[in-house]
Amino acid sequence: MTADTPCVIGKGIQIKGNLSGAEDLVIEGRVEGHISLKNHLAIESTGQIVADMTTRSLSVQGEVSGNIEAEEMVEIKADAKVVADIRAPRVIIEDGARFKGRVEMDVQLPNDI
Amino acid sequence: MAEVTTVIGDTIRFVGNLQGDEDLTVRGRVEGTIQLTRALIVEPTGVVKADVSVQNAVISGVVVGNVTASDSVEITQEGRMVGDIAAPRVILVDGASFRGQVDMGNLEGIKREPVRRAVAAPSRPAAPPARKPEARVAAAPQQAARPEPVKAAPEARAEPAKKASLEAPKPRLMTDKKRKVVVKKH
Repeated sequence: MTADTPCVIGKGIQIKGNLSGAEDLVIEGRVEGHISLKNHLAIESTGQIVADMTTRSLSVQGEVSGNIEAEEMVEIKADAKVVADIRAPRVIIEDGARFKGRVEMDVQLPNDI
Repeated sequence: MAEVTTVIGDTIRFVGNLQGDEDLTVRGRVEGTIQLTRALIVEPTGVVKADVSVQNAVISGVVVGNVTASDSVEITQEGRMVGDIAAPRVILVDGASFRGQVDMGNLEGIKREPVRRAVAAPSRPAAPPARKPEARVAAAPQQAARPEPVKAAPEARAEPAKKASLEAPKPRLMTDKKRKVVVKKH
């Protein structure tokens, strides 16, 4: 996260529609629709997302359903609940996280397999 | 980890069906299928090109194939895997690379599944619905309400219950028809 305080969508807020921006964003509320962000997106434990997301990086502690595409990485924390297809160069799933879906990373396999 | 461990060494190449009731460490290469009631450990030099059904899997090498675990699958920092994973716990460490489907069973909370089953079998609503889930709780509590994963191997899933009496097991290793061991020189 950057030095300036990130934008926060608070617990009591619900958004339906398209969300886009070039700033770190923290979501504690509910968002339905599309999210397209050039920076880091953090979904806190109270956050609920039903959306397709394109971000630079993403960390999830709350609930997400939708497709995720990240330029750098996706981190699914221990308490998160995620149903999604994820495409990112780095994907981390912590022990305890609940996830269902596809993960697409680049896998370098040996030539003879 | 357990007292008994089998190691497929660096220069060993195994093709066929591998079954067992003890931990297996792979440093060489295994192709075919692997069925264990314990853990599979694929070390950084290990290459597994097989469908795998185990209790736990720790992947630090290369795995190509589908992995079903009754407990957990962990892909470590050095691990590389292409295939689908079905397990109640799946851990992807930073640095791991993976391509495939992950199925950790139901994400809807534990109460739902038995209810659905009761609905699915309305002919005998009185006793049976509760029974099946209970049997499973005994075997592996985490799976109480887990829906059958697509590629589950039922025998392997039932087996962890035997663990307690595992001290003097008859290792029923490699009783299968087609097996071939090739020792590869470097």
